Amino acid sequence: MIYYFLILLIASCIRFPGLNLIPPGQSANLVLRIFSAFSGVISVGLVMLIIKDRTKNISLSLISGLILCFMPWHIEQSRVVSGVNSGLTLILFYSWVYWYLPCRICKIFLFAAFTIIFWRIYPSFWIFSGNWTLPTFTEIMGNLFKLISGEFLFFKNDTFWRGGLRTYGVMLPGFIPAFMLGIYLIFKKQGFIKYAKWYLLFIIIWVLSAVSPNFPESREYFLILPYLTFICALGFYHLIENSKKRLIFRILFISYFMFIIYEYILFTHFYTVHYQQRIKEEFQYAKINF
Amino acid sequence: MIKKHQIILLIILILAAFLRLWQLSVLPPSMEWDEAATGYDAYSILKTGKDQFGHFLPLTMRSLDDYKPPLYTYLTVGSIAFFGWTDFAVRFPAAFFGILAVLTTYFMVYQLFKNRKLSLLAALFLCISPWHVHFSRLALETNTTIFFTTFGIWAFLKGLDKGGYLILTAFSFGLNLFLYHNTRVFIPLLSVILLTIYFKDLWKHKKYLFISMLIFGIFIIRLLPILFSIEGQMRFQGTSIFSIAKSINVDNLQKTYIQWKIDDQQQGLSFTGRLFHSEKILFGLQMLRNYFSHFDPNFWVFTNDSLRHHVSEMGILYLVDLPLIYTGLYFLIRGNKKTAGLIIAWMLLTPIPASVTRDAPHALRTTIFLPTFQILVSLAIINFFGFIHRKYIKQVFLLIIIFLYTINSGFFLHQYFVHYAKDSSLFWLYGRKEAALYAETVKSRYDRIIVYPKYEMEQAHIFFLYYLKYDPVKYLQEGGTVSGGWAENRNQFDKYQFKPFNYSEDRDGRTLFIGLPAEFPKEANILKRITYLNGTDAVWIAD
Repeated sequence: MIYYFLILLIASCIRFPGLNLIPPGQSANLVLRIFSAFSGVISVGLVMLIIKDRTKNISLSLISGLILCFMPWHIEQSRVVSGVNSGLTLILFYSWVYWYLPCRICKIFLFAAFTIIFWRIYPSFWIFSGNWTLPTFTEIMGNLFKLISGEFLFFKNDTFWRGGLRTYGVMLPGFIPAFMLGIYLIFKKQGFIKYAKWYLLFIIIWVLSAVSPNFPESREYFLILPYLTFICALGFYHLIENSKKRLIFRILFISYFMFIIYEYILFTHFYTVHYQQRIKEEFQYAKINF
Repeated sequence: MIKKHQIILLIILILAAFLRLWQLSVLPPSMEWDEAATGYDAYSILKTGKDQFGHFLPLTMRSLDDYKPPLYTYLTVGSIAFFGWTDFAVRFPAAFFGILAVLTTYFMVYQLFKNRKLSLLAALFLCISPWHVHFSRLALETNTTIFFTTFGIWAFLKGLDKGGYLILTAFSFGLNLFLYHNTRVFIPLLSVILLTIYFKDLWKHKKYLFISMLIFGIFIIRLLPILFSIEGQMRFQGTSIFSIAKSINVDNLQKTYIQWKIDDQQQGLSFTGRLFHSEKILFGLQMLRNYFSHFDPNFWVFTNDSLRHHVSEMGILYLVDLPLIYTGLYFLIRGNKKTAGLIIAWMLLTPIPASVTRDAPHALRTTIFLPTFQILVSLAIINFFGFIHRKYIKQVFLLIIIFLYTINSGFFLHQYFVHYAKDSSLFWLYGRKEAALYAETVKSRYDRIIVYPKYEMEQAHIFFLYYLKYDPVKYLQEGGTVSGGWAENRNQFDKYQFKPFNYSEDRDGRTLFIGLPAEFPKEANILKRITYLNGTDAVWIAD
């Protein structure tokens, strides 16, 4: 239990300090940013709870929480006014509560209630915006592929030009081996067909993001972060378990982990020094809530 | 007695031959630089034993100062000797080995999976693959590597039972090292993977294993001096992301990193500038990006690659291939570990050489991906059939697959055989042949013919040598090629000189000028305007 609180504490330490300074923003938005940061911390806790409930694996859930806690895109969205971040928290809360509801009618009622709340806290979701001019079929296919490409996931996330990180992907490049191992394990051990309903939501979000008229200026894809978190966590968990077997694996894993830490320090440097410089130069604060 | 699968295989091979040989000399519509250079070097070696630079039976073809591996050129020597010096003969080895690759893919897949239907499907999908069909029609080395790789792996798998076959693997992989630059990285890595995965089976044939390693080692030893020579490094220097000729993207990134260092210094963070913004990080990240760009479905299906590598409105794989590739990957992982390890390692190793080059992703430099995609597609289909128990659902599924592939491949074939020549004639440097042949007809009227080697007319000397079928004996007596370099202005033969001109100043009534339209003023006396197949101006000739 203490580890869960520790991870929540770390998440808070990353998301709250200097909230209106990094990135720079208007004082009027501070309350909204606090709400966003709070949502971010809650979403880390919810991911841990859901994975613990579904897999009965405490270590896996803790690793998932840590990964989401340090994920660049999640940090970035938790520190700005972000409807999608709050929307993610809501979806996670619904997913957690869903398994405990006693009857189908309750689930439907709760789904309706959550949809209304989702609309209120994430009004910029393109379906609610009224702009339903869809891209062409070729563009949609290109968008779909872009969202699952290595370039987007690990090197350049340009789904949110105004304030987005861009110089980083959704995840750090160092996560690549763990991510690939996670994908392999899902195919090999989890049984893709058996857990198909788990991935239904991912497919829905993926397609909705790809058909967004604002693409790439859309953040709906942020909602799939729990899936990416789980995949990476699976890979890391397997690596840790294997590292216990032999010394050489332990050395390799520690080296890999040190590299991840270096990458994260590199990201922190970029975020605290160069990112806010870029924001100052590019961004018009007066026009939108940021 | 001929069996059913043999008849089907024969039909597939006939189809492969048709798709690769029909209109080979006119589609693509023209020979580009590398093809013309290979053709001329091959003929020169046939006639004199020397390449255009006068090197006797070289193990590296200096060619266009890109120092090509030699094997394809030597294969072309045989083709020219048999068919005569024609565009067909120069492209024939690629087509021939492309057809053979379909056959070796069948045998290789059968050795891996012991499933005739799967093998036939993989061969069929390779046969109609846009990626493979197109590159089988180009006189470029890369496609031929697929034959040697699949043959080598087939022989390796046979060698696990009968050790003697390992020797064939050694020869096949060894020859591959002299076929294309990328295989010099890919094949040794693949060999390590094969040794690792199948070590226990190999150890039963120790004698043949050691002999094979010795043979392969001889190829490596012969290759090493080439790799570490100045000539061997030239190609790397010319295409790598580290060289001066890096892409605009890398250049911009370097400027960004320099700016970040300056920002850090201004904030008193010089140490972090050195730690986080060094060029090593930039190039490391760029290599990783280049590597993963080859797994981008956009690249496979829609591709931003050069129009020399694919037809318009289509990529290098079919759209319907995509879901089947991912599904096939799922079934592969859940199947035999060794087979899965081999195929996945093959796919992961392929983009490594291309990741250090600019212009990534690159369809030509990663052709050695084939036929892994086709294997995955076949796996998906066969396994889906295995899941479906009801006969009529199987039939519906089969009809859907046939329908989708008919549409996709029909579209590709239509785009390729009907539109491609016109769409891509600029990229295939159409017009050089026409310019050379026209100049030759009017040559007697002039003292000299100056060809301006700039932009699309760069390396013009090779086109004129090739299309005029200039006698290599005479050419070498005149000194041969001075340099294949892109900025070279000293090449000449007969009355032809390849250097810049200023039409207004150099015009003397006894000189014929050949160049891009931009080189001529409005008042120029244009004798001939050669256009691309889409009607835009390609080459002008004036006096």
